[in-house]
Order: sequence, then C-alpha cells, then structure tokens
Amino acid sequence: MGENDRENKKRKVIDETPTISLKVKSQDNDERYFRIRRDSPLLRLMRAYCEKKQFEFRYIRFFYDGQYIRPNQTPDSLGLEDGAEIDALTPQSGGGWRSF
Amino acid sequence: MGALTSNHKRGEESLGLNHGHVSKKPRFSSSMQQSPGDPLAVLSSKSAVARLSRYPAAKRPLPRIHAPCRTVKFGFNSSSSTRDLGSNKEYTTDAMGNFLLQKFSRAKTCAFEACRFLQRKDKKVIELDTEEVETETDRASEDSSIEEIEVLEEDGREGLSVVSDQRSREANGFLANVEKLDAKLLERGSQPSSSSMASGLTNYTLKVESAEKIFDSLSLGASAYRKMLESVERRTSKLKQLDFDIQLNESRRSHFQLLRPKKKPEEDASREAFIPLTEEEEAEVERALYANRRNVLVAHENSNIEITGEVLQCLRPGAWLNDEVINLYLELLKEREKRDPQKFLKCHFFNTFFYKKLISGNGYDYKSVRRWTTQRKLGYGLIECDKARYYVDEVKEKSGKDINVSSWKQEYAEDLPEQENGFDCGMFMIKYADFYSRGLGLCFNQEHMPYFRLRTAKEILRLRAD
Repeated sequence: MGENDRENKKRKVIDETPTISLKVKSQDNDERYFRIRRDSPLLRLMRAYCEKKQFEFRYIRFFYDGQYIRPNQTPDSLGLEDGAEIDALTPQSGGGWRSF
Repeated sequence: MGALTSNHKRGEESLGLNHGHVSKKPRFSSSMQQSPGDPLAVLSSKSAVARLSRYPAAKRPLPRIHAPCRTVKFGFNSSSSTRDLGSNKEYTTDAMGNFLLQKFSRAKTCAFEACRFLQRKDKKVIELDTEEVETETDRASEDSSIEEIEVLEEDGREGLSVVSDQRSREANGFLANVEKLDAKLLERGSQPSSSSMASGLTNYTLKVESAEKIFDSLSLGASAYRKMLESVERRTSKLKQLDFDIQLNESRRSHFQLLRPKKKPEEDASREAFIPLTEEEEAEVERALYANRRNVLVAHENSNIEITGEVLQCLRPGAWLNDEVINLYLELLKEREKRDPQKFLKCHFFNTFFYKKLISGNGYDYKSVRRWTTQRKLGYGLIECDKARYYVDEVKEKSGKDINVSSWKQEYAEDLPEQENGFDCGMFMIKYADFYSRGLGLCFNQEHMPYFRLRTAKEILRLRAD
C-alpha cells in the first residue's frame, strides 16, 4: 500500500484527482517534494519522509506555517495549497545546565 | 605651683575660647580705661588689678551659660566648671536657670537661631583679639585664680552700661522689675552683638548675693519664658499653616488614589500567580503525570497539539520540558489574554521553533517565517501587540507601514531568576512569559518550580491557563 502511494506521488499524475504537491523542508534546508491526495491523512507523508531521510518518526515534528501538524490531518483540513511548504524539525526540550 | 600653673593653663585655654565668645567687651573696657589714663599703664605688670581688669572679660561668657543655655553646644561648660570657686557658684545658678528654662528649651533653640548666628560672627571677630589677651594672661600668670574672681566683679562694674546700671539698681533694691528685664532681654534678642554686655551684667549680679542670684535667674527665667511664649506664638501660625498643608496634601493623596485603583489588581495578579492547587487538582495532576504513556490526555484544536501521557511526563520533577508542552502553554497564555484583555497584556508568543526557522537560512531569513504570523492564522496582527528587526519587516509586510523602532527601548530583565539545577530552564522560560503577560515582575525563583510544574500540568490538562 505504501509503495503504491509513493509510486503515485512519483508519477506526478496530472489529472483531475485532487492531489497536491508539498515541499518538506528540513532543518538543514534539505527539500523534498511529495504529492498527496487532498483527503488523505498527512501521516502518510510523514512516514514517507522519515523513511527517506532515515529519521525516526517520533523524533520529527512537522509544521505548517508554524503550526503543529497532527498525523490524522489532511491537506484539506489544514487548508494546504499547492506547493505549500512543510517544515520538519527536531523536537525541542527545555532543560540543560545553567551556563556559566 | 605646678598645680597652679596647670590650672592657669587651663584658664588660658578657656580664655581663648571665651574670648571668642565675648564680643567687643575687651575693647570697650580698655577704651574706657584708656580715656582717663595712660594706656601703657594698663599693660604694665605693675598693677595686677589693672591688668586683670582687662583680663576678666574672658570670664564673662560664663554667666551666659545659664541664660539661653546655648553655650553648651560650644562646649564651654567644661572649661568653666574647672575654673574656680566663683564658677562653681555660677554653676548652681546655672542649674536653677536651666531648670526653669528647660521646659522651653526646644522652642528656644528655634527662636534663638538668629541670635546664635550673630554670636558666631562675634566669636570670629573676637578671636582676632585673643592673642592680645593671651599675652596679658601670660603676664598675669603669677596671679592666683581667686584674685581673678575679684577682678571679675570689678570688671562687671566697669563694664556697666546704661542697662547694667539699671540692673544693678534692681539687684540692690530687690525690685522684681520684670518688665525692665524683659526690655533688656529683648534688646539682647534684637541686638545679639550687645549680648556680651548683658552677660557681663549677669556676671556681676551673680557675684553679689546668692539670693540675688536666684532672683536674677528666676527673673531671667520669667523674661525668657515670655520670650519663649512670643516665639511659640509666632510659630503657632506657622504650625497652623503646616497643619493645613498636611490636610490638603493628604486629601489630595486620597483623591489621587481614588483616581487610580490600579495597584490592587496588580497585587491580586501577583497573588493569582501563586494560588496553590487544591487537593483534587493535585490528585488529578498526579494521575495524569503517571498515566499510560500512549493515552492522549488532551488535544488542543487551535494549535493541533495533542498531549499524551508521555509528553506530559516531562512535567514530572526533574524532567526536561518538551516543545509541545511549552508551545501549548504559550497558546494557553494567548487564549487567556483573549479571554480577559483587561487583565493581561496583549502579547504574542512565538512558537519555540520560530527562532530556529528564522535563522535557518543564511542568518536572518524573514521569508521563511513570513507566513507564520498571518492575520488569518492568528486572528490579530502583531502591530496590535503591546510588546526587533523582525518586527519591522513584519509590520511592513502586513500593514504596509514602515515603522520606526529607533525610539523603542530595549528591555532587559533585571533580577532575572535563574535555575539552580539542570532541568528547570523550560519551566523558567514559560514562567517568564507568564509573568510578562501578567505585567508583573519576575518575582519567583527556583523554590517555586515544583509548584509551577504541577500548576502547568493542571492548566494544560484543563486547557486553560489562569
């Protein structure tokens, strides 16, 4: 199933199917492009991205215009436009030693 | 002999000081003497009396001690007491006079301020003469101190002015002519420069008779009392004025306080920042903190943040705070402001990833975060916020205005509370934000962190910051 999806994206099918191309940008400005159906959960994109970049899924946060993206959201529910940029960032945590 | 000389030396010392105090008396007396006879005769060592007649001027200040008792301030008391028999007598009368005057001493000091000032002047003037007097005393060194007393009396007589004549008559006839004394005193008060004469007077009378002395001091006391009364009356008007001023200012103050009742809310706000959790809340937080890691405890719709048990565990003591918790809390702070705009400052808290994104390109990259703060997304524009190069770009882009921020002052935190361990920095950070939006100072420290952790957990579970 996953393979199928990826193939779909790669194929860049230009037809009436409501798909959307998204750019995923990592912290080090590495950009990846994905095509996804407007009504499919973004979990697919996330998993695909992590697989490609060999990240562990739970250690990557996805943002759209500064907003967290939940895996069950779809491009439609987020109001994504074609060519929208998604940020993939590593989680932050606040702790650390007081620096002297 | 040795004792005598030492005694005399002390006398010299006091002489110097006293002369400082006595005004033109020496000159006066000498001129009187000089007019009939040879001035050189006065200076010659032949007649000790003549010499001493000039000398005793030094003694005169002593009686002054018992009148307005200001001389104490100049420290003449000690020197006078070491003097001799006569001075001892004076001392007792001093006490008498002081006894009567003590009641009014406070009012007196004020009333005599001007006089004192003038007397100081006198002192300065006379100090020029001190050398002369000292040479005289050197010559008189062979004389005993007892002789000095006698001379003092003489001097008293010699130095009699019109006023002193009156005075002596009074003393002889035991006339309690208070009015005259009053007049004299007034003279004294109005013409401090002539005070030395009056003091010489009193000196003389003191030597005459003890009863007389007492009477004198008493009458002096009475007259002084009158003077005091006058001065007090003069002051009462001032005091009334002051009272009125005080009343006026107090009424003003209360009025101003009515005008701005802002202080109270501030106190309330600072209290609100430290409201302890109820037992139920604590139990709830406890359960959540140690709940199943997989369960989604709360989901915040607007920010798309879901808090699972795992995420919330970062609020356990000693854990590092996670970006989701922090960002959710910042969202809650924003919502809090929307809920109660009167109470909290309008703040925009950037997402914790904002800075990362902003500098992700080559240094400063506005474009990468341009879309993060659209009106549609936030529901407000940053220009509306109460609290930056970023800001300039932001405003330019979103509202088409080029704003000048050179007049903005950079704010630096003062007395910044700091963490004292290796895990509370996130907690400190969100509390900085919290207290800023409350408009409060950063009045917390490491001790509050356990409480803040629980409180934050509670607020996140309720999705409502208070």
